[in-house]
Amino acid sequence: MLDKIASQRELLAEQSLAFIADCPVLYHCHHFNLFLDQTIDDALGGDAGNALRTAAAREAFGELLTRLSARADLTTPPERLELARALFAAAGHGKLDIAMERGGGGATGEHLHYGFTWLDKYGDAVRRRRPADAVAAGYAAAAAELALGLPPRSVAATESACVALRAPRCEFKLVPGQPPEAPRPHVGKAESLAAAGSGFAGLDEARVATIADGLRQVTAGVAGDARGLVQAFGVFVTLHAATYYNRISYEGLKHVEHQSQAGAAVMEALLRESGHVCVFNTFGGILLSPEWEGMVGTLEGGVAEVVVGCCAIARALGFGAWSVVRLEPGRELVLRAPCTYEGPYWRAREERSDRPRCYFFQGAALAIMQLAHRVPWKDRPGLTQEFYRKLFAAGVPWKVEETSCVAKGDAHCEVKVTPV
Amino acid sequence: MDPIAGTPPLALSREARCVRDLLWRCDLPVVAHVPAVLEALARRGFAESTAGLLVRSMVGPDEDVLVVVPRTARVEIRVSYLVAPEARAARARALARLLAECCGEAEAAT
Repeated sequence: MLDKIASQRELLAEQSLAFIADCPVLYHCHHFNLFLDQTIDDALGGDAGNALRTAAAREAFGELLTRLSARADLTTPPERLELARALFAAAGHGKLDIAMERGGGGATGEHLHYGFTWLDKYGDAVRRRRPADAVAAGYAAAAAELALGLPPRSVAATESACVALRAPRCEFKLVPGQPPEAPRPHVGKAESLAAAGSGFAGLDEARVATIADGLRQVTAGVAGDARGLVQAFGVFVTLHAATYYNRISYEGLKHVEHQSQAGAAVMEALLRESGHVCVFNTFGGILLSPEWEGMVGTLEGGVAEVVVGCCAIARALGFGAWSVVRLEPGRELVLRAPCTYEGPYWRAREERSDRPRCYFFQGAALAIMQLAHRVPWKDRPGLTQEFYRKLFAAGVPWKVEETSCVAKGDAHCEVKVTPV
Repeated sequence: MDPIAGTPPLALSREARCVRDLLWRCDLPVVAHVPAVLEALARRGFAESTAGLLVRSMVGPDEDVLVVVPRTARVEIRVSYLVAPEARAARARALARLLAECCGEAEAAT
């Protein structure tokens, strides 16, 4: 089954965007995943946030599983459920067993990425009140729909027990026969190419491309362990659906915009902060990893070295072909991408925007500038949450502006970071 | 001398990226001994799971992973996340002692 999945992986090399069965995918770590989910819940409230996240996962993974199943010519319910189990575990989401009949069913999860990592990261300090695994819930619903040939987006999923709430395992109830959620436009390779500009050879392009290729070889070999988790570079990693991230981000933001412009500004800031979280934990972890040392060399910590390295990492993770247009240490950083993983979604599903919309790209660029200037890499600093707060909680000496964005109809996405 | 392994101990420290005692670092004393150390690990039940030859990953019987950079002899000890947080430091020390044994064997073989 893993061969069938692997054979459907594709890369738009010039755009550094990855797909499985024409559905956009990328790598993100548990720090980012937990932060973004919490952002959505804070913005919408716990129940509405959970509902949006579940629906987004059901939609994104339903499309992925349906296309993958068709291409692999899987027709029976057991084959399709096996595909769903295999993909979920291979992508680092954990182990999920689904038992479904036409009248209803359920699923059981072990070591689910969200619940397990939430407990590991916050369990000692925070008491959670709601289940953590909306992604697994939506995924289980989508898999059940596909397996039994039920209408897409018509199975409701509820997590009734969760390890983040100290249950021994996660359990889900699946209820068919709900009014199907309306379909949304597909976002795949064609839509991404329609949104994207041309590739751009920026500073140290050959070096960026070489490192990105090397990292892609490393990530290609990464797969879920016996429990369906992926631990790499000091973080738990998932291969995730870009449509999930984009839908919860943009629909969450629209919901807040309808209520309060001030609230929308706060949420935009939080979506940018998700870029800080990712760059600090995952990019920082990769830069300090033995894999980086073996492939690139020991990190010396020069500003250009860090910035160029981060662009290579972004490409390898499927965030887009980030290039350095201009770098003046201490003064300015300009990054450009033909498009990010955010832009094509907006172009395919929303009206042309009157302002830039690549919030993750904006936050990541600012964080890269901060990492390049404020982290004493040679001292091998601990990438702890205390250090994160010290770097980003207050007094960040940079501001970021997205000067071009495909969501506005521009030819590419470009961000500029300058001193405050 | 390490009282258990009978070989010089390796200096062990938390990796910069270490969260909850999962990642540790030590450096093998002789770069040229890396291949022999890897062979010694294999004799102790470690299986190679390597994405590229620039880095060698050895997975132990209890799912701990030793990632070795042959060029620099850096070793990252990735303690299995199944180990309880309070027991991870001890596991890392045990793995460092194991590595020291392997270094001793490599030294003796040359």
